[in-house]
Amino acid sequence: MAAHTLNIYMLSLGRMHCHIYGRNVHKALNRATYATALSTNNSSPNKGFPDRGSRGPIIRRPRREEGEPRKDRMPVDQDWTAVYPTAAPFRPGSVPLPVRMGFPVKRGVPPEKKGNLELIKIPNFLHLTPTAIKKHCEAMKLFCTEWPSALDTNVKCDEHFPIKIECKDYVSAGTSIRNPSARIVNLRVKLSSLNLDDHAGKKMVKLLGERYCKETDIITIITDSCPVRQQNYDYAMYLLTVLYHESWKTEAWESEKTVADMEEYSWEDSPSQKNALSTLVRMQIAGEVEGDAVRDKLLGRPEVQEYRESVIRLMNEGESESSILQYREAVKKLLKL
Amino acid sequence: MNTLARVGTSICTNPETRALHVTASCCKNRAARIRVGKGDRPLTYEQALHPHHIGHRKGWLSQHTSNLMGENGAADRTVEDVFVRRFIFGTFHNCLANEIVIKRRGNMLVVCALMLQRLPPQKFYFLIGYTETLLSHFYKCPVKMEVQTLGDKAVYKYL
Repeated sequence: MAAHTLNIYMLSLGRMHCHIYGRNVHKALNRATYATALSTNNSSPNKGFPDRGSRGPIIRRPRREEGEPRKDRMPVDQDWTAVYPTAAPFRPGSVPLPVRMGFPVKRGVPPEKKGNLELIKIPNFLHLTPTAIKKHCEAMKLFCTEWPSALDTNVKCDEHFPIKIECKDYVSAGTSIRNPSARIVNLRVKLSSLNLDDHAGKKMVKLLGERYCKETDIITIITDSCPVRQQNYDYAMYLLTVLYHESWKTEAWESEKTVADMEEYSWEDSPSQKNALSTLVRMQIAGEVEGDAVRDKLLGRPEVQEYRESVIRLMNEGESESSILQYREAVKKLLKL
Repeated sequence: MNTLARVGTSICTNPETRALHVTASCCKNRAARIRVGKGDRPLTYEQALHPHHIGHRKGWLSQHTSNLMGENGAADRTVEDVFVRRFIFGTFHNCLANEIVIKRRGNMLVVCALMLQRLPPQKFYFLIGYTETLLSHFYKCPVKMEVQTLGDKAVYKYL
């Protein structure tokens, strides 16, 4: 019992002073009271570091100091295109400007550029100084040719190159650079620049339907049914060729064209002509003899011609101030009011 | 003992009844906000400004064209962003000074990171090369890392 208590005291002493006396006290106590599986054989020189076994001690190289930032070594007349040759995020060590960005703290200033994430977030144009753009232009000039001097006006361009093709290229940010909308081809040509006669022109307009704009006289063909732009372009040219050749041909059933299919109003053989002539004939019925000769004479008269002009104008162009006035004058003259 | 017995015969012990437990709702917004504390916690600019300041006092950490009108692929870009952030956070363990900025130029992915000088430069170079190669093979597009190192985090204020 006494020996036991003595051992306990030795134990507590050992624990308290272990860090001073080192391993010896520890070892003695181990033999006496501890029954641990811990091995206290500390043979490695690195105290407190994990045992690396046969690899040897960790060699810690002394920490290298960071070098001087580039902005402190910049001459005033340096080539800036060498500092920012391409688009790059903002580097505070490379830009010699004392830029500050951010919302200031109360009674403070915006944070400085070192470690400023806001300056990195925004796109910068440090790589697009006027000098840099001049260099780009010089490099691109090798691949460019002069614009032909004969084509200096829009009119001449339209005359020599009547067909205009429009395609769009799309640029986006993502893993894929392809965009399916880039296959659409827009072909525009003026109807008047095509070699069509009267019948062919009217047939072409009927075939085109809503692809033809009457005000500007432009045919627009938009193709997007093929997956590749080249295919769509070939298809558009094929459509134009086919339309042109088909409109020159005259089919058998085209002779069945009725008055309702006509594009323009014509006064000959119209109810307006019949009514006018019958009115005039009845006006003169007391004086002269009826017959075809009278009709032809009546048609030849200037008032009738004027009436014809005004009716055609009203029907084709629609109602407007001047056309109705013209119609009024013509009717007054015709009926001798 | 009697009161205890009465509590024991309430709803929880009776098997044929059900109840709904409600508390008063706490309508506070807690998103991405570090609450005011003792005054010894350093915060970066990114942590100090709350999400409703994005667009007014804060910029966007990730930039791409998919959120514009008529453009596709917004969901794919978002998922890519999330993955890249987690990957870099894990690869450069304990070395990041601030959030990562992801920029996309054409089909190239540029990851801009601010790091602390906790590792020797050789290890940094290895990890940067490893990240670039792995992410390039994963996303089938060129991935570049632009790393800047600082001695310690840039503190905006203390909360």
